[in-house]
Amino acid sequence: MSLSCCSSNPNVEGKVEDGGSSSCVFNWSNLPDDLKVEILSRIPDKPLIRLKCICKSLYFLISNTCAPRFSSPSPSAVFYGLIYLRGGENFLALAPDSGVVSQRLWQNLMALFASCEAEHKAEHILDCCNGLFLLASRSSNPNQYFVSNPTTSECIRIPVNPLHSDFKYSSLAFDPTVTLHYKIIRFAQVTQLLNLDVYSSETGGWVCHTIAFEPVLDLGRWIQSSVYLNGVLYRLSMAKYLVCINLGLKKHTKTNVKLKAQAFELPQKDEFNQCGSIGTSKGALLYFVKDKYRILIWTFDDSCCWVLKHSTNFHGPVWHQPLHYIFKFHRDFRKFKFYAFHPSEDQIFLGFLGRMLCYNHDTKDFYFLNYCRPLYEEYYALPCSLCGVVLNSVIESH
Amino acid sequence: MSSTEAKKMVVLKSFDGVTFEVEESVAVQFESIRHMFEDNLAGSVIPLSNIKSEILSKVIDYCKRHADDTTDEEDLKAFDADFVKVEHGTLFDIIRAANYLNIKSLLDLTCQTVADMIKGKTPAEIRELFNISDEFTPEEEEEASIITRFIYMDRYADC
Repeated sequence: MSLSCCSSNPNVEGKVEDGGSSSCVFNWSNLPDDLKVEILSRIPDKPLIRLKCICKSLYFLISNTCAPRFSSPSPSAVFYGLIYLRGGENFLALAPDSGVVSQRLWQNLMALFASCEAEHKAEHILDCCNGLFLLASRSSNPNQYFVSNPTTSECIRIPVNPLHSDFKYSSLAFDPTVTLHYKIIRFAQVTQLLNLDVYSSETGGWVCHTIAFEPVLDLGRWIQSSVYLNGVLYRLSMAKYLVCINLGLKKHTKTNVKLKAQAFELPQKDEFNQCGSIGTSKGALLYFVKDKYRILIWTFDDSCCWVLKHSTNFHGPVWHQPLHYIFKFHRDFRKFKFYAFHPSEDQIFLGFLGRMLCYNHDTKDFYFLNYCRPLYEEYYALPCSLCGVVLNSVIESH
Repeated sequence: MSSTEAKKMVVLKSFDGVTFEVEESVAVQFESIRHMFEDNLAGSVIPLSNIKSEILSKVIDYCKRHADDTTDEEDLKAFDADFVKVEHGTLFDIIRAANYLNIKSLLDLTCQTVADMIKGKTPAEIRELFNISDEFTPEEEEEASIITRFIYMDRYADC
């Protein structure tokens, strides 16, 4: 075969139907969507996103098919870093030069807060889920939620359920690989019944759910952070239970579907005074707990069993010298606080008075991230990823 | 090559009625129609109703080269590089054919070629290349470019 087909093309006249038709023009629009995606998926995310502004068909193809892929939960998500929060008040308190979070995301977040704050003082970051943030404003009356995508500089206001005024234990559930709709789940202070208020962006309304556990459990108070993974929302309670709420993975869940919830005891719960922390890494739910000289990490497997994944004993024969010195230097290992799991590596982030340590529990390597200022304050951190999804699109498909 | 002895042959017929006789060892790369000749329908003609003869002959060319174990890596790379130097319309037809016949390596090669063409270009250049007319209103354009602005200056300085 030698030269191009174009010269011979005009002969192929007459009964040319869809499959066989190819004009000399390189005609993108004739290509079926799956082949377009086949091509687009070979383009890295940054140049890919730029293609959105070429035309509507590309816009929707990238927004709805390609963008969710790179904003999907770990391990494929683009890990953008940790947002550092000051404890108690939940204010963002990370200097942009700390190297923990990307500069641009930081700037966008700050700009978003500035615009929110123009109306409402004191923004709180409640949760971050697959690139979307759940914020709240306490000073506005009534209280107000904001769902925000700092990647696209968007902020949507959502009124709190008129029946409740507190938003302290609120979670965001968003998985763009399944649907572009999100849910806000607010946990009432529990006793024996689990009371949940669920907002769905699909219906635009709040629904209350009450779930009774059998046998009756006393869960105690909630722990601040929650995890949303594969359609299930996880939250720990002070009484050392993992509560799993199945929000349903399906695209169009009906409004009045009864939620299902289960509670599982945390592993070796009697050995530890304090409740640990949950997070995700490599697509699995992990539980971290430490005591005076041990770090233990469990995975919660598909059959709802805890499997010990890792344990390090800083006191035993497998002495980790350099790390030991650091802990010793800081006097007390117990004061090191767990921040987050790395979403795609065997790493955990630990913090101590404004200093953050990244520890690889597989290789036992570690390094320090920069200081946060002011020092000697309590911080906690949210791992955040990038999301290319546009929330309130003004672009209409035909 | 002169190894024609007792080679099983498969006959393919293109959309415009041209028939091609292909060795089975080459045709096995056509994943989607493989069962048709493996089910021992010897001698029968397999119609490929949406591939033109000029495209089919190119695809067969490609598969012949890739079925040949004697070709070394370097040559094959050079062949591939040369193979995709065709008119854009032809390249698209090959993508469709590769998809229809389910030839993974050819689909990879051609899609990557188009992806590479897209990568280094501005939106305006791509519109011209793809023959796309811009259909955004100014507000929509604004929205579409918001995210671009964000991602532009960030981490992935390499692209």
